[in-house]
Amino acid sequence: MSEGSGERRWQRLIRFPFRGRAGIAADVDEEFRFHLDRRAEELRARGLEPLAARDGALGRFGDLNDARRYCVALDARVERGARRRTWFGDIAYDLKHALRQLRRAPGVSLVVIVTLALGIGATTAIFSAVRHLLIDPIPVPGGDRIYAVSRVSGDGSMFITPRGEAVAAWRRGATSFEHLGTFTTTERTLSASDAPENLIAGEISADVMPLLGVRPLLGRAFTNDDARNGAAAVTILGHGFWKRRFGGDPRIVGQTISLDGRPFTVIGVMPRNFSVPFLFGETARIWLPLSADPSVVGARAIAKLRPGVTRESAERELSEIMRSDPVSARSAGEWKPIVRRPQDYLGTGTRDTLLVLLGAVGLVLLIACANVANVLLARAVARRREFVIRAALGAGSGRVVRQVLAESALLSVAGGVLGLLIAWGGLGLIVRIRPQQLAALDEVRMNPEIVAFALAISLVTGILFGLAPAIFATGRRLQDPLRSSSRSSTAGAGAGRARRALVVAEMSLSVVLLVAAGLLVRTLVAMQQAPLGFDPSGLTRAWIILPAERYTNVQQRTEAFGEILRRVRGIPGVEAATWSMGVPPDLGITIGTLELEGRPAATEGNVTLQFNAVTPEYFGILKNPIRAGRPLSDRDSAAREVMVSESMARRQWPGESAVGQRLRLSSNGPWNTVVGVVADVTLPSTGGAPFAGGQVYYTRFNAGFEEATLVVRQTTGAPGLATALVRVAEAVDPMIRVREVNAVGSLVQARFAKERFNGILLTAFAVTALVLAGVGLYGVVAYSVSQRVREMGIRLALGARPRAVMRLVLLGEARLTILGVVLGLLAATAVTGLLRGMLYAVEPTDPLTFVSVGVALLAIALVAAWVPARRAMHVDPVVALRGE
Amino acid sequence: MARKPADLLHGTLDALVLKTLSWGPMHGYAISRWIEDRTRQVLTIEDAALYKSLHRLESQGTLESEWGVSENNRRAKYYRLTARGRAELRAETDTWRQYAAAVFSVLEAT
Repeated sequence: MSEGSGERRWQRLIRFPFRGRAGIAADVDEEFRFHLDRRAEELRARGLEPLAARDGALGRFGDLNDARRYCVALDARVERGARRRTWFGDIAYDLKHALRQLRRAPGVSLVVIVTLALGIGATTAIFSAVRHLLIDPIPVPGGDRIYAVSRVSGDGSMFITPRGEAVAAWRRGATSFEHLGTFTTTERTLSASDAPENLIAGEISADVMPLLGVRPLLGRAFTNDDARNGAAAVTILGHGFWKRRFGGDPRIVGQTISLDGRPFTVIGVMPRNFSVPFLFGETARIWLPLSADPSVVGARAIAKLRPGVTRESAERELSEIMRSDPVSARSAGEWKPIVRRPQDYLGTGTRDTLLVLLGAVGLVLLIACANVANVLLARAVARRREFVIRAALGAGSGRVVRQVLAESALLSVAGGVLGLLIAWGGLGLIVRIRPQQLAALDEVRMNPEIVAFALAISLVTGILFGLAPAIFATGRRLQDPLRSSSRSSTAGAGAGRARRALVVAEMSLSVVLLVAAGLLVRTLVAMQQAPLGFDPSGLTRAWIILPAERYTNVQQRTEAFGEILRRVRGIPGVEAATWSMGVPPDLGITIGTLELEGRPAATEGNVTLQFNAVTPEYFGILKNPIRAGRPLSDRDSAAREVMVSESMARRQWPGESAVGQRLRLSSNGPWNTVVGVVADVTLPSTGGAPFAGGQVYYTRFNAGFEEATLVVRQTTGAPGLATALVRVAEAVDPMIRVREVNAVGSLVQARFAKERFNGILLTAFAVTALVLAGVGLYGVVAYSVSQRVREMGIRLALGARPRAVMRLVLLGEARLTILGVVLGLLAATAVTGLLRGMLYAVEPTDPLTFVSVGVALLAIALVAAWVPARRAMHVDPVVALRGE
Repeated sequence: MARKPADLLHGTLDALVLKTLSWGPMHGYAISRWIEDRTRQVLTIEDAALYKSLHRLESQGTLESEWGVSENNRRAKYYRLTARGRAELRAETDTWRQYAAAVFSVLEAT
């Protein structure tokens, strides 16, 4: 230690107490009195009478009271300044000292910082995400007043877009809104000779951009005229699309691009990241004007309420306008207008999931806090002597606490900053693995409030859990450690008990998290392994749309579809291809009355069935096995053949063969003959009952509609099928549109995205918790070994075998672990019920999960205790007994 | 002719105090006597003004004070120059020298 810092510390210890205002006045008076007395003496020495001398001295002095006031006020100010300087000086000194202390114990500091950072990072990331999804308004000016306007069914279960007439009526009459716009998305094909491409186009009415307070980066916004019938076709390019396809060339404005074979003039470019709320992850690449005409069907409505207007009053006004409008009034009874925030679109299941994640991350934070408390408590106990010596040298107890506070603050800030980095990275990760339901997460950013939140948490946890142990360690019987040998095992017995309790708590919280993670991982595995009833690998589907105006009759459509199929089969790598109405996981649903021949008409009312119209090859291509009967034949529609799924056959014709039975899905309709039974196509899903209605397959006759799904099975996973399909369609007719080209496997996987998200996050939390708990346990055992070195030495000196000593340590630790595990498993049985909606094919009390978590934790605890226990075994009795 | 203390130019008193203390720590009375003796009673300083000046200089950090024991064994407050005070004195002296030279060059102009 340098000479200088030693001197400074000495000065601090002998500092005079500060004076109060009365003390300052007394000092000034004493100074003046001294002066007056000396002056009077001087005058007396010159021969004046005592009284005259005093008067003379006073006369010479001038305005005594004024000088006194002036000096007292000035001195008081100086005193305050000095006090403040000293205080800041002390803080600087404390921080410097704290830094030195932390450097002296880098292991402890590192553990505390990393622990805090993990806890805070995870909490901050999840908190940001949940806050963004559940609380934050739309991130545009006045975003808290922006709502979607839709209609809700009488029972509140279904939402649909408002009718065009209603929107038109609202636009004319409603006063609740600043703006009311409409938007929708369509898929378009960018025709370009080198690389045709399918794009999602956002169609927006002229109100949408002013509603969002957005102006184009280049060019102009849409006007109402752009959407009129007969107006020149115009488009505004999205920023990313403009960069990618046109290299960000500003001269693109005014040029034309070709969409679905029609020229569109580019009138502008949108700013970066422009999107319309309520699109939920549909990324529009280009923007087109949407007509405000009432005939537009299926457009969604978005509104910005005037300041001060409530949702309820807006909904009331919309209802009234709908009732008074003759066209809208017809449907007004069943469907009520409703304004909704983006948050309202998250189902309750998703919301529960988010809250579970928040709860889980809260447990991680708790464990982190317990760990910090644990480590700092051990340190405080180890430092009792230091504190006591400090106190003996004259540092007040407040001073010691401030010392500790400075150390905690330093640790907290370091942990908080590192935690923010972890949160930032974690948030990026969360966005990357988010399921479709949480598309709104793409816009989540770390903002100043979140940073403040993280730093506040870190300061509070760090200081709380750093200070409490310090007070605990210094508060009681401060002088004891000086009297007795500090290594005696009785010192800090209370602290030891507290630390063991903390470790047990950490263990049990980790068990809860591990069980939850285990259940979710088991869910994911079960879903991946669940039989789908078909083989999605190598399957691709595409939606082909013939332009209705050019294919008006069956003959034309049959020829076009036939030609496309012939050419698709010629694409290299294509093994087989066929047409169907849909393909799993996207199958149509029909709701109707199911009548079976020879049975009384169904009394249960409407049934919901999945249905598909397929060709005979369909089942072979999907590898959807036929269980009984034969596939549909390719005969004409008069044959009226159907196939049903296994579960439906079992339910409708229990104990008899379904083949040969007849059914119809509407009364008075024609009867259909069941010719075969196929395996169920099922998609595992969590939350809610799985779809149990079964499937019905009709024969697909070419050309009933101008749209069809192309199902392709490839031998090789050859890339470029999407482009090849677009080329094939273009070769047949450039006006044919190819949409939604997707690998069926990835569509199926997308159905598990939510479960994967939950599983990954909870596993990450559980592993973090486990590591923290392991570190905590290691700390406790290592500390207790270091405290008992003497005892071990004595035992070894008296002839105890080293293994016995090690067993002693491990046994002590095992009690803690078993207690923690048992408490944790009990707690887990109490809380895993909350996960029920997130599980598939796993019970919340799944014994396998519970047992493996228990075993895993015991194993980890054994490893954590092994290292310090081995040290105990190798204690050198001579060194241990030599004492201090 | 003795000038009235009130006529002292602003800042002059501070400069005199700093100069006086450059000889060593003194209490207020000693400073007052010292200035009177040096100026052969030409400058008589009002005591109230002197103490205001002392406290002001102390608040500015050019002086620091300490209670000590006087020649006749009484508690007295002693002032001494700080490093800043010394620098201040040098600057003041330069200013005064220039000022005086300027005034003289006018008064003695032929």
